[in-house]
Amino acid sequence: MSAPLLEIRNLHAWIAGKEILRGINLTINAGEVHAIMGPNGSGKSTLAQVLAGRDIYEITEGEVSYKGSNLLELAPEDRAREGIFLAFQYPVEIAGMSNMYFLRTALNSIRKHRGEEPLDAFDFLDLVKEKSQLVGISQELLKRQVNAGFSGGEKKRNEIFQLALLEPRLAILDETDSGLDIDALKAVAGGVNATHSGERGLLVVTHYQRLLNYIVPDFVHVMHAGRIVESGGKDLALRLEEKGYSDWVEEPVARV
Amino acid sequence: MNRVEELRREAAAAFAAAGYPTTKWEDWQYTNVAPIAKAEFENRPIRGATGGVDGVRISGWRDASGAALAKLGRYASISANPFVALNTARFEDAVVVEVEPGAVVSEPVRIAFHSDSPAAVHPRILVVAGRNSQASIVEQFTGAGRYFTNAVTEIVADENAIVEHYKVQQESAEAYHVGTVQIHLARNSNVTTFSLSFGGLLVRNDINAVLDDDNAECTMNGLFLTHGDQHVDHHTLLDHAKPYCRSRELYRGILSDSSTGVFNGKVIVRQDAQKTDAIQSNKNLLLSKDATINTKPQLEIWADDVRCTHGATVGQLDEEALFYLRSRGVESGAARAMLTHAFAGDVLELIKLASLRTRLEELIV
Repeated sequence: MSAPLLEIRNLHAWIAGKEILRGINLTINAGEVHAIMGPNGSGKSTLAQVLAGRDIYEITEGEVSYKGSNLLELAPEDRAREGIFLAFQYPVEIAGMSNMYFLRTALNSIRKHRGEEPLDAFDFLDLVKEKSQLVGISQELLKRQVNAGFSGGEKKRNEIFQLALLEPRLAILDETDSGLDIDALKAVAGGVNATHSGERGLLVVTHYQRLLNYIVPDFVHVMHAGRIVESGGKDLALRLEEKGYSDWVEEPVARV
Repeated sequence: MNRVEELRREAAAAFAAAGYPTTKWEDWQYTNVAPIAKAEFENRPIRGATGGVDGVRISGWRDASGAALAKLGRYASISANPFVALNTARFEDAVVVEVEPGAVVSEPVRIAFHSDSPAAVHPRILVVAGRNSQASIVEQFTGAGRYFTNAVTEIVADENAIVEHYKVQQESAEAYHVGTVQIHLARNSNVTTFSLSFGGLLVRNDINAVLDDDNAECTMNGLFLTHGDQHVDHHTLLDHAKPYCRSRELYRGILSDSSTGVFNGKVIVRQDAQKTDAIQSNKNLLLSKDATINTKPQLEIWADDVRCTHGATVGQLDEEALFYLRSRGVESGAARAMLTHAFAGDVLELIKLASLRTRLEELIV
């Protein structure tokens, strides 16, 4: 059997003197959809950022292997070129930079790494047209500056559009559902599903079960205080929706 | 004695009395011109300007119309700035650009100065834009080796005239460049001036405008990039003398290595100048921890019914934006360059001449 797509063993990460990840273990095989759920502050977003290579976190222990190699020694751009994609919880606004220029530069960086010819402006436009239909994003939006003045929903759609364009092996969605109305949520989920295949892995970080009605996970993990405290099938998400996180989060004995 | 001889004599006396400014002068606090004073460059005269396009007459001062000649030296003050006095005392010929009343000139007037000998040059330009005319002017400064450029440009916009002016400073890495752009705006006129500063070792630009009648509009845009030990100083002055005038000012500085920059943006709203609408923005990007910028907005408001805003920022490249680009596969150096471009884009995208805009975009990073 081939190596798992992603294998995280006993991962510990710190920021500003505080340990956020306290021993994460997780294995994702090609074709699988994993969901990580958990209350605010449990470390879900930190895990997503650490996997993408954000260097504000210090890794003190543990290993992450991606396609059989050490992921942690790769720069963020090399991770992206090797097929890791993070859909940001808060996509960054870059005034003065055209979205199309940004996307073409990104795509051609990745194509170059794969040994493919760069796309010229015309071929790129054709591809943009095809992918924008796939995820239901207006081409007008793509002609603006990177995320500048976009609504929350527009930013999330732009992230999923990038996902469709860059065709990663492992996509990580960091609370892509938060703040989306149901139509936007369906559109985003539709885009994600359209790009999923048996070769690819998907890690969905979310606070709510709602998104998982549309992106159906094979595995659900509950994260609390920097650890995965329970794993199960998609039914686990439904149970969480009903019961909340009280099994893992200490409730005060009496409320005043 | 003709007018120019008289001007020169007065200016020489003014310069002799004032001497070179020192850092004890408030307006020269951050810019030490002692190296220029010490260098004692020989004067290299600039001669003979001819040419022109439809609707524009270009000549030296000897061949300029009497009406234009009467304006030469009338706006740039020899008492306020010794370098203006020095230029006025020493310029040999001037480039006089007369835009005929009513002429709409699509082709920009290009004026280029190139220095490649160790000398002082005193380029002098006078632009007179007639009533209802429209024109654009590009001044270009280039050179090689060590020399001193001391330029003065006067722009006089008559009623309802539109002028777009670009000063592109690409002097050699060892050059000294001091320049004044002095703008006078009549009723309903509209002047935009760009200071695009890339070269030079020691650079000082003064850009002054007097909005001297109702409903005039002046825009001052600037972009400067500094590397190595470069020092670039911009002092701007928007003098709102009359009511219902508008000014817009957008300056961006990008500083690398151990270079230094100065931005001093003064806006005066005179007692008469009710309903003034003035907005100023200065943002600076420091690409190195050794680079320094001194930025100082100064508002002096004597009228009570006005809208004036200003903002100045100094910052580094946004780390989150950098990570965002890298997480999409863009290599770190390229990501920095793209963000620097985006920063400069605030000013570059306002340049209407496409060929100039493209050429300058390529100069960044």
